Amino acid sequence: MLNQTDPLNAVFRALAEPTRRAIVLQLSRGRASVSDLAAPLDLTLAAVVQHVQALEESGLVRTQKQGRVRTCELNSDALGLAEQWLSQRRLQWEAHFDRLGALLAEQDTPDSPGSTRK
Amino acid sequence: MKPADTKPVAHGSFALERRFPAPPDRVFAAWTDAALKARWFTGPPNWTPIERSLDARVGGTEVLHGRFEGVQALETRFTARYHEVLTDTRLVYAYDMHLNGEHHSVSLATVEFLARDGGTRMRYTEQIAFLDGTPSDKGVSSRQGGTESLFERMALLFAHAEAQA
Repeated sequence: MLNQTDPLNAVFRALAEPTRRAIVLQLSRGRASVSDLAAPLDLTLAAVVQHVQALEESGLVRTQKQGRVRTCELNSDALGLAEQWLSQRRLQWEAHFDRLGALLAEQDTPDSPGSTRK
Repeated sequence: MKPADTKPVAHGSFALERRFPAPPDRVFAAWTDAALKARWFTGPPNWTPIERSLDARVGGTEVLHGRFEGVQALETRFTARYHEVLTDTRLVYAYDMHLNGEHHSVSLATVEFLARDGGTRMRYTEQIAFLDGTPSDKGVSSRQGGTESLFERMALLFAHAEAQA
């Protein structure tokens, strides 16, 4: 079942836009200020700021403001691990519920001795 | 720990839904009766329990501590506290997960039991804060691995987007 709050969905939404993909690729070479990012793009600074905000909300990008300069960097390690942990946790619970379903089905049969499944 | 060494927190949530042919009181009992819960709330076959307890009352606690055997031994410790217990209707509990003694995550779990067609629709929602960021024993290599896998996924995404265009 797809979940609206799945962080992966937010990442895919953020990356569904070509300018934001260009920004992510640029940041893969290292951190950059918003004006650094705007330089190769044919866009206003305000438009770039909006894209950076969308990337920041998805968790893909982290920004830090020092004085008048906002520096951006990829947040790839946290993202990759979070995604792994989340799918692992989801699968663990799916396995628990498989066993719960089996237990309830077993209880359905009145003459079942209720032997423990291993 | 110095602020500069603080690992990044990552948030996630997911929801699972199951339908069971048993009425809500039986499904609820499977969550709140210690003997019944022990029948399904366990690890896979290579996981051995060390300690287990359950007191599913408001303020009551639950522990499930065990160990994965094998090449990569891993000790898992689940400790929960029940915040809402509505008989045959809903459970809300918070739990910590420790892996090899390290605080891995804190979760808020909600289980809803809805009567449907003589059976139960069970909805499980979990909201998680993952606390242990980059594993300290991996450091730079894990960061690199994370970046590489991110780019692999991006490549797949782009392939998909181009196929659609």
